Amino acid sequence: MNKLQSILNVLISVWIIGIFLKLLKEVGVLYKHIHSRIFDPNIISITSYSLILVSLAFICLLIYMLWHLRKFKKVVKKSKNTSLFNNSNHKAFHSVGMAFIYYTAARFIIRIVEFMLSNVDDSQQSIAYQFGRNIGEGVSNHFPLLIVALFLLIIAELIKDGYQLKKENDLTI
Amino acid sequence: MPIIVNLDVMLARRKMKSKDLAEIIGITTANLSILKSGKAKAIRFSTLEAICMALDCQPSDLLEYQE
Repeated sequence: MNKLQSILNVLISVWIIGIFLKLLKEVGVLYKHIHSRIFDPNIISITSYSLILVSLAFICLLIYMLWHLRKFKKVVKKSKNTSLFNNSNHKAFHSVGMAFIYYTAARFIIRIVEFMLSNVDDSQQSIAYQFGRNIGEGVSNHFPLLIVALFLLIIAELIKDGYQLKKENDLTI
Repeated sequence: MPIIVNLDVMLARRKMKSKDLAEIIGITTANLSILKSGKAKAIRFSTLEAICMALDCQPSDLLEYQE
Protein backbone atom coordinates (compact mmCIF):
# COMPACT_ATOMS: atom_id res chain seq x y z
CA MET A 1 0.00 0.00 0.00
CA ASN A 2 2.83 2.40 0.90
CA LYS A 3 4.55 1.69 -2.41
CA LEU A 4 1.35 2.34 -4.36
CA GLN A 5 0.80 5.58 -2.46
CA SER A 6 4.36 6.69 -3.26
CA ILE A 7 3.81 5.99 -6.98
CA LEU A 8 0.50 7.87 -6.87
CA ASN A 9 2.22 10.75 -5.12
CA VAL A 10 4.88 10.95 -7.86
CA LEU A 11 2.24 10.76 -10.62
CA ILE A 12 0.21 13.55 -9.03
CA SER A 13 3.39 15.66 -8.76
CA VAL A 14 4.05 15.11 -12.49
CA TRP A 15 0.43 16.03 -13.21
CA ILE A 16 0.77 19.24 -11.14
CA ILE A 17 3.95 20.18 -13.05
CA GLY A 18 2.17 19.49 -16.36
CA ILE A 19 -0.75 21.72 -15.41
CA PHE A 20 1.64 24.42 -14.20
CA LEU A 21 3.43 24.36 -17.58
CA LYS A 22 0.06 24.51 -19.34
CA LEU A 23 -0.80 27.50 -17.15
CA LEU A 24 2.41 29.28 -18.22
CA LYS A 25 1.64 28.52 -21.88
CA GLU A 26 -1.89 29.88 -21.48
CA VAL A 27 -0.55 33.06 -19.85
CA GLY A 28 1.66 33.44 -22.97
CA VAL A 29 -1.39 32.97 -25.22
CA LEU A 30 -3.31 35.57 -23.20
CA TYR A 31 -0.41 37.99 -23.52
CA LYS A 32 -0.38 37.38 -27.30
CA HIS A 33 -4.12 38.09 -27.56
CA ILE A 34 -3.85 41.27 -25.48
CA HIS A 35 -0.79 42.41 -27.46
CA SER A 36 -2.52 41.87 -30.83
CA ARG A 37 -5.68 43.56 -29.51
CA ILE A 38 -3.69 46.68 -28.64
CA PHE A 39 -1.25 46.89 -31.56
CA ASP A 40 -3.08 45.25 -34.51
CA PRO A 41 -5.63 47.70 -35.98
CA ASN A 42 -7.08 45.11 -38.44
CA ILE A 43 -8.23 42.67 -35.79
CA ILE A 44 -11.98 42.02 -35.33
CA SER A 45 -12.94 43.54 -31.97
CA ILE A 46 -15.56 41.00 -30.78
CA THR A 47 -13.45 37.95 -31.70
CA SER A 48 -10.40 39.46 -29.98
CA TYR A 49 -12.33 40.14 -26.76
CA SER A 50 -13.84 36.66 -26.86
CA LEU A 51 -10.41 35.05 -27.24
CA ILE A 52 -9.10 37.05 -24.25
CA LEU A 53 -12.10 35.97 -22.18
CA VAL A 54 -11.65 32.33 -23.21
CA SER A 55 -7.96 32.49 -22.22
CA LEU A 56 -8.84 34.06 -18.87
CA ALA A 57 -11.50 31.41 -18.21
CA PHE A 58 -9.01 28.65 -19.06
CA ILE A 59 -6.37 30.16 -16.73
CA CYS A 60 -8.93 30.28 -13.89
CA LEU A 61 -9.85 26.67 -14.60
CA LEU A 62 -6.18 25.58 -14.50
CA ILE A 63 -5.65 27.38 -11.17
CA TYR A 64 -8.78 25.67 -9.79
CA MET A 65 -7.43 22.29 -10.95
CA LEU A 66 -3.96 23.00 -9.48
CA TRP A 67 -5.53 23.86 -6.11
CA HIS A 68 -7.53 20.61 -6.04
CA LEU A 69 -4.56 18.47 -7.13
CA ARG A 70 -2.42 19.99 -4.38
CA LYS A 71 -5.15 19.17 -1.86
CA PHE A 72 -5.34 15.62 -3.22
CA LYS A 73 -1.56 15.24 -2.99
CA LYS A 74 -1.65 16.32 0.67
CA VAL A 75 -4.30 13.67 1.40
CA VAL A 76 -2.30 10.91 -0.31
CA LYS A 77 0.84 11.96 1.59
CA LYS A 78 -1.00 12.13 4.94
CA SER A 79 -2.76 8.78 4.54
CA LYS A 80 0.66 7.05 4.38
CA ASN A 81 0.96 7.30 8.15
CA THR A 82 -2.68 6.98 9.18
CA SER A 83 -5.61 4.82 8.13
CA LEU A 84 -7.14 5.60 4.74
CA PHE A 85 -10.62 5.20 6.20
CA ASN A 86 -11.42 8.54 7.75
CA ASN A 87 -13.93 11.28 7.14
CA SER A 88 -11.45 13.87 5.84
CA ASN A 89 -10.20 11.44 3.16
CA HIS A 90 -13.79 10.80 2.06
CA LYS A 91 -14.39 14.55 1.74
CA ALA A 92 -11.10 15.10 -0.12
CA PHE A 93 -11.68 12.28 -2.65
CA HIS A 94 -15.26 13.46 -3.20
CA SER A 95 -14.27 17.09 -3.74
CA VAL A 96 -11.44 16.15 -6.13
CA GLY A 97 -13.79 13.84 -8.09
CA MET A 98 -16.37 16.61 -8.40
CA ALA A 99 -13.62 19.10 -9.35
CA PHE A 100 -12.50 16.77 -12.19
CA ILE A 101 -16.08 16.59 -13.48
CA TYR A 102 -16.47 20.39 -13.37
CA TYR A 103 -13.06 20.81 -15.01
CA THR A 104 -13.93 18.36 -17.81
CA ALA A 105 -17.29 20.02 -18.49
CA ALA A 106 -15.86 23.56 -18.41
CA ARG A 107 -12.82 22.59 -20.52
CA PHE A 108 -15.11 20.95 -23.08
CA ILE A 109 -17.21 24.12 -23.41
CA ILE A 110 -14.12 26.37 -23.57
CA ARG A 111 -12.58 24.16 -26.26
CA ILE A 112 -15.68 24.34 -28.44
CA VAL A 113 -15.86 28.14 -28.07
CA GLU A 114 -12.12 28.37 -28.78
CA PHE A 115 -12.44 26.28 -31.97
CA MET A 116 -15.44 28.25 -33.17
CA LEU A 117 -13.62 31.54 -32.68
CA SER A 118 -10.36 30.45 -34.27
CA ASN A 119 -11.97 28.74 -37.32
CA VAL A 120 -14.53 31.43 -38.01
CA ASP A 121 -12.88 32.55 -41.25
CA ASP A 122 -12.03 29.06 -42.53
CA SER A 123 -14.20 28.75 -45.65
CA GLN A 124 -12.84 25.35 -46.76
CA GLN A 125 -15.09 23.41 -44.38
CA SER A 126 -18.71 23.84 -43.42
CA ILE A 127 -19.62 25.11 -39.93
CA ALA A 128 -21.55 21.91 -39.18
CA TYR A 129 -18.49 19.79 -40.05
CA GLN A 130 -16.21 21.93 -37.86
CA PHE A 131 -18.68 21.83 -34.97
CA GLY A 132 -18.99 18.05 -35.19
CA ARG A 133 -15.21 17.63 -35.38
CA ASN A 134 -14.68 19.90 -32.37
CA ILE A 135 -17.23 18.02 -30.28
CA GLY A 136 -15.60 14.72 -31.28
CA GLU A 137 -12.14 15.98 -30.34
CA GLY A 138 -13.40 17.47 -27.10
CA VAL A 139 -15.10 14.23 -26.02
CA SER A 140 -12.14 12.01 -26.94
CA ASN A 141 -9.64 14.31 -25.18
CA HIS A 142 -11.55 14.63 -21.92
CA PHE A 143 -13.28 11.26 -21.63
CA PRO A 144 -10.41 9.58 -19.65
CA LEU A 145 -10.48 12.36 -17.03
CA LEU A 146 -14.22 11.89 -16.64
CA ILE A 147 -13.68 8.16 -16.00
CA VAL A 148 -10.96 8.99 -13.43
CA ALA A 149 -13.40 11.42 -11.77
CA LEU A 150 -16.08 8.74 -11.54
CA PHE A 151 -13.56 6.28 -10.08
CA LEU A 152 -12.58 8.90 -7.49
CA LEU A 153 -16.23 9.35 -6.53
CA ILE A 154 -16.63 5.57 -6.20
CA ILE A 155 -13.46 5.42 -4.03
CA ALA A 156 -14.87 8.27 -1.91
CA GLU A 157 -18.03 6.22 -1.29
CA LEU A 158 -15.91 3.14 -0.46
CA ILE A 159 -13.87 5.20 2.03
CA LYS A 160 -17.12 6.44 3.60
CA ASP A 161 -18.42 2.85 3.97
CA GLY A 162 -15.00 1.68 5.25
CA TYR A 163 -15.00 4.49 7.81
CA GLN A 164 -18.41 3.40 9.11
CA LEU A 165 -17.23 -0.23 9.36
CA LYS A 166 -14.00 0.80 11.07
CA LYS A 167 -15.92 2.92 13.58
CA GLU A 168 -18.22 0.00 14.33
CA ASN A 169 -15.27 -2.38 14.64
CA ASP A 170 -13.46 0.00 16.98
CA LEU A 171 -16.53 0.15 19.23
CA THR A 172 -16.94 -3.63 19.36
CA ILE A 173 -15.50 -4.81 22.66
CA MET B 1 -29.70 2.84 22.92
CA PRO B 2 -32.36 0.80 24.74
CA ILE B 3 -29.82 -1.86 25.80
CA ILE B 4 -28.34 -0.87 29.15
CA VAL B 5 -25.03 -2.33 30.35
CA ASN B 6 -25.13 -2.88 34.11
CA LEU B 7 -21.46 -3.66 34.42
CA ASP B 8 -20.78 -0.99 37.06
CA VAL B 9 -23.62 -2.42 39.21
CA MET B 10 -22.14 -5.93 39.02
CA LEU B 11 -18.66 -4.57 39.76
CA ALA B 12 -20.00 -2.82 42.87
CA ARG B 13 -21.81 -6.00 43.99
CA ARG B 14 -18.64 -8.06 43.59
CA LYS B 15 -16.54 -5.24 45.09
CA MET B 16 -14.17 -5.40 42.17
CA LYS B 17 -12.33 -2.53 40.49
CA SER B 18 -12.58 -1.89 36.73
CA LYS B 19 -8.81 -2.14 36.42
CA ASP B 20 -8.79 -5.62 38.00
CA LEU B 21 -11.63 -6.83 35.77
CA ALA B 22 -9.86 -5.48 32.67
CA GLU B 23 -6.72 -7.37 33.66
CA ILE B 24 -8.62 -10.64 34.29
CA ILE B 25 -10.57 -10.61 31.01
CA GLY B 26 -7.65 -9.27 28.98
CA ILE B 27 -8.99 -5.99 27.57
CA THR B 28 -7.79 -2.45 28.08
CA THR B 29 -9.35 -0.20 30.71
CA ALA B 30 -10.26 2.22 27.91
CA ASN B 31 -12.33 -0.47 26.20
CA LEU B 32 -13.93 -1.47 29.50
CA SER B 33 -14.81 2.18 30.06
CA ILE B 34 -16.47 2.31 26.59
CA LEU B 35 -18.48 -0.78 27.54
CA LYS B 36 -19.47 0.67 30.92
CA SER B 37 -20.52 4.03 29.51
CA GLY B 38 -22.78 2.41 26.90
CA LYS B 39 -20.82 3.84 23.94
CA ALA B 40 -20.00 0.36 22.61
CA LYS B 41 -21.76 -0.70 19.39
CA ALA B 42 -21.39 -4.43 20.02
CA ILE B 43 -19.90 -6.96 22.42
CA ARG B 44 -18.15 -10.19 21.41
CA PHE B 45 -19.42 -13.47 22.89
CA SER B 46 -15.85 -14.19 24.04
CA THR B 47 -15.74 -10.89 26.01
CA LEU B 48 -19.18 -11.51 27.49
CA GLU B 49 -18.15 -15.03 28.47
CA ALA B 50 -14.96 -13.73 30.12
CA ILE B 51 -16.87 -11.04 32.07
CA CYS B 52 -19.52 -13.56 33.21
CA MET B 53 -16.76 -15.93 34.33
CA ALA B 54 -14.83 -13.20 36.20
CA LEU B 55 -17.92 -11.76 37.93
CA ASP B 56 -19.66 -15.12 38.36
CA CYS B 57 -22.91 -13.91 36.83
CA GLN B 58 -25.26 -14.42 33.86
CA PRO B 59 -25.39 -12.26 30.70
CA SER B 60 -28.85 -11.11 31.81
CA ASP B 61 -27.25 -9.63 34.94
CA LEU B 62 -25.07 -7.44 32.73
CA LEU B 63 -27.47 -6.49 29.93
CA GLU B 64 -30.92 -5.04 30.26
CA TYR B 65 -33.51 -3.89 27.72
CA GLN B 66 -35.32 -0.62 28.46
CA GLU B 67 -37.98 0.98 26.23
